[in-house]
Amino acid sequence: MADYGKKYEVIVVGAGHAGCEAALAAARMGCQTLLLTIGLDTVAQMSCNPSIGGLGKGHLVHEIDALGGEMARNIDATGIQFRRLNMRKGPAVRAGRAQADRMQYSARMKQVVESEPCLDLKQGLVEGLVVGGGRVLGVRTREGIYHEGRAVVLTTGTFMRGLIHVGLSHYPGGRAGEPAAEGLSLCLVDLGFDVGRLKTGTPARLAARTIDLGRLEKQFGDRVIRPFSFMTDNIGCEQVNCYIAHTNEKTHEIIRKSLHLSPLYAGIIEGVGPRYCPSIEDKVVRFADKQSHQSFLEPEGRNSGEMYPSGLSTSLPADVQLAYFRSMVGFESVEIMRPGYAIEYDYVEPRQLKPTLETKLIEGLFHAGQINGTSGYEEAAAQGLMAGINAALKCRDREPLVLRRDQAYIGVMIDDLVTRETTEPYRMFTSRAEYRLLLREDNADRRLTEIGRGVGLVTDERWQRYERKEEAIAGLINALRNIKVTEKNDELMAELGVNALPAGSTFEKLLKRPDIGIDQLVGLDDALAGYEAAVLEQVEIGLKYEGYIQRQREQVESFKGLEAVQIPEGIDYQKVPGLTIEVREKMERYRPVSLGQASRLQGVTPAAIAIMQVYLRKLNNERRPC
Amino acid sequence: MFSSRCSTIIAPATVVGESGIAILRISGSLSLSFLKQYFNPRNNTQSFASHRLYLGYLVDRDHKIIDEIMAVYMEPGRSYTYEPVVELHCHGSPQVVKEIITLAQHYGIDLAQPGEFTYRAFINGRLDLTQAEAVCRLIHSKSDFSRRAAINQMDGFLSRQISQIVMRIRQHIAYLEAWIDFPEEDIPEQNFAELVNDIKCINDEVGRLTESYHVGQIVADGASVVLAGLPNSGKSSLLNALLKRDRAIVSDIPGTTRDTIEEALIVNGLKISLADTAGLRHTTDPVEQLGVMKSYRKLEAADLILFLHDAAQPFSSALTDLMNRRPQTPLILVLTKTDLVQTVPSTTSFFDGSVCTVSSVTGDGLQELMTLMSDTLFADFAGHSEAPLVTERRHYDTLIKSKTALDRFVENSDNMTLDLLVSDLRQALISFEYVTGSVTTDDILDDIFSNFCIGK
Repeated sequence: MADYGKKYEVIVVGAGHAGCEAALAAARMGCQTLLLTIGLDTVAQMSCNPSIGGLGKGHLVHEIDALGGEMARNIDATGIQFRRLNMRKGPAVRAGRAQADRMQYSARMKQVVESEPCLDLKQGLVEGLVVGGGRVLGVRTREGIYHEGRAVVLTTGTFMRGLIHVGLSHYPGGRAGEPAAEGLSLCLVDLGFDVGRLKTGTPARLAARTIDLGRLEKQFGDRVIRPFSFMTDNIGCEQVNCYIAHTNEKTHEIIRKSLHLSPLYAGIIEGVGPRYCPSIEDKVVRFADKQSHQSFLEPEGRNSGEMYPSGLSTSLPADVQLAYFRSMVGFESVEIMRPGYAIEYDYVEPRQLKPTLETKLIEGLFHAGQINGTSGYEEAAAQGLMAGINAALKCRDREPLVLRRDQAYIGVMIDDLVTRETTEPYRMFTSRAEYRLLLREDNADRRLTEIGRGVGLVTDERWQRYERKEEAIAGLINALRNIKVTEKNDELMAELGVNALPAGSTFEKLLKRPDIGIDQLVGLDDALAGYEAAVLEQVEIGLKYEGYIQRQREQVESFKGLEAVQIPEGIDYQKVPGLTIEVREKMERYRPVSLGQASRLQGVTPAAIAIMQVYLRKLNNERRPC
Repeated sequence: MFSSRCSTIIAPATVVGESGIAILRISGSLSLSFLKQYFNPRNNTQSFASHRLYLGYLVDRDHKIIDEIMAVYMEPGRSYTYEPVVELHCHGSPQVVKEIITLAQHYGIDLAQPGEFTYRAFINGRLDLTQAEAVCRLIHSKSDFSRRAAINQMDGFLSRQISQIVMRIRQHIAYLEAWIDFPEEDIPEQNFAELVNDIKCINDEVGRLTESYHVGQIVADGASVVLAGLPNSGKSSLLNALLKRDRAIVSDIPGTTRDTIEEALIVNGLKISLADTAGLRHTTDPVEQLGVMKSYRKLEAADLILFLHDAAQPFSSALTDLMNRRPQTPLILVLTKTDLVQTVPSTTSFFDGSVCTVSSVTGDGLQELMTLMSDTLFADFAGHSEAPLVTERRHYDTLIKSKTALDRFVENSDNMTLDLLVSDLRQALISFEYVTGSVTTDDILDDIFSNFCIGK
């Protein structure tokens, strides 16, 4: 095997959404970094839908940005339609969603990677890890090259033993038209990892010019675009439309008749697919009385002739796909450009990870993205960022970065991954966050910029921007506190349709009323003029929801106690008296790092936590010298 | 806290010295071999069938008889703790009990900590937390009513009621969460006003359960019934008559009772703590004054007041004074010494509550009074005597906490956004965790995915 010679600090395997963030983070933190990909032409490829964001996912993108990641800026630069969802359901559950120009998204990310000084982007298919003394030493490629690295981040996506299914025929592949990585997961099994199998799917891509778009309902982008990145001031691009299509009884009939040709129903697919992203055949079977399913028709790019029909992923044969599409209104003479397919791939049980995303088995080895049983570009990118940060911190012998559940969706996700059984590909939902009111898109910078600064990913420019915003927020709150409602305001109050407040009430108090918005107040006093929208928004949300936010903070505090109780790494659960066999097995399987994590393991009862608490206290007393 | 789970434990299951029979319970791996070692059954068997009573002698290490006893073995999985359990029914003498425990300790059996049996039952998955607590109540309570309340809970009566409430809240959360997390899916429209209405109903139910806590407390701890009235109205005589023994000194001299006397009795299955108080009158005697003050304090905490009035005397303002002082406390007007009067005076002009006439001498009216007492104490509860009683402080706290969250939801449903409202519902759900176990996000997601067709 040829030794490449150059000694890298961090090697990232795979240049998808996780890999790019991991490599950029490590390199930006000053580590000599190598990014290896099977194909240099598919960097940051959107394998499925051409969109970024949505509920929970948009939140992740904002967090990635606040920490100094790239995804938000990339979509801001290459998005072709932007919408903000849930505008009427409350600030915590508002989320940005954008359609991307798939080719441009990939091209821009490749450029960013290529221009990063400490980062080498190379083509190469990694066949195995080189490990010695329980540590990772480097990787070897199919081309016979050995790359030495102190830390390795695996972001293998759907490529490990990828198997593509179209109808009853199947063939190895990591993505349509690309080879699978056959050797790596075997190597991981040899190293002692539990490797499982998951399944996902994607719909056909349709030729736009063969669809009668005039017969479909249009969906427009927002008039005013709110960017994903805290560094983007505004986005002024011309937006494209999406369309809403519907299946009908005839479509369902075609699907039902062809179920025996689906590898899913014929029992050929062993991997578990996600419930939130069922194939159309699944939907038709499971919700048999639903007469129509909806599909968003999303353009794949500004100049692309392909369209992505969401909600219609499938593993049925190509001819059945064509038949059911043509049964839909507007699709009577549609042409399929690429058939939809299902793909099975290997993942590594994420309970074998520390909350830093480093594996417990091999020091210096990190996993991020679909290899951890997740799905989604945003979930992958967020893990990639964290793995890259922690790999770099490790190379610098610095304390690792673990975000808590009350700090970020990223913290929620990684904690979920390392504490819960994987039963399907993991996707972020806002309902997964118990402190949802604290984890908003709008305050991601306030939650995470300092942390990003601490690890060295936040540039001076971003930092100054953040400091300016914080100052403005403090200034505005102060101003609201000092302005009193005077008689002269009474007329204005009447105009706003608000009952007069007792004289001497402050504007702060006024703003807490549900019927008053900050926009209505800014014109009333010169001290309130000149603040930018993001500042007004922060102050308004902070004041209006103070009671609720305070309550969640209190819950966070009451929970921090258990989080702080560390469980020693080598603890022998056989020696903890009183644990039920079930709990003991659970603890041994997951080896939680803190009582907080232990308490979130399924089947671990409060009584078991009480027992653990007693035992750990006893253990500490014994250790303490008399 | 407790001994290791592989150890075997022993403890008296009955209160020693209070009854003729004492039961000792042994749980753990050594229990059966201990029985075989020291118990000589009358029928000479060496294999004990589960859940069968055997008569025989318990002997000590020198084969000397300690006591004639009944023994029962309960095989693992079918016992209270799920472990092998032996119960020894011996005579109630403290000496016998002590000797048996000493014998067991020599055999390597530990004396159980208070609650350790229940703790083991709980740890072994035999009981949920609600049930474990109810069992503790069962052990402590002595009267029928308490036992019924405890048994109701042990069957999961309260758990079931709460589970239903939790299910309904869960459904609403699942719907609202689906609405939040999947804004672009065609989730069927639901009328938000209807949802709010149902939450209001749930909140009312929680409110009713909360109110039952007071009754529950009476059932578990006993109700406090206070005898009040002017001096020499016959309070002490009634106390003695109810207790069927002479507990209080009775004399014709008003103000004989100067201190409060308290006695426990069971009335129609309900545990009652009956207090005789010094008569309520202005007095210059400093000792009697103290007694009167104490009477008023006692009345503050009463669940029921029996106001006694000598049927031969004219009515005074003492009754109305007392009713003004304690308007919330149920009160029964008891006309006493009816054996000494021809006709019972009418009270309807100034009193519309329950009236009862008794003679402590003849016993006339005593049974009616007792029925009236238990009926009054359970008045709040009449009509749904099978509804679960909340007897645990912790359950009460749980209900109060969830109610606070539900109240907030109801109050804010008009002017707050969905993210905040759902946080109230989730808070309510979390409050119930302590009773029913936790409902995880995965459970909510399960609800969502099984109810709504979701998927890009």
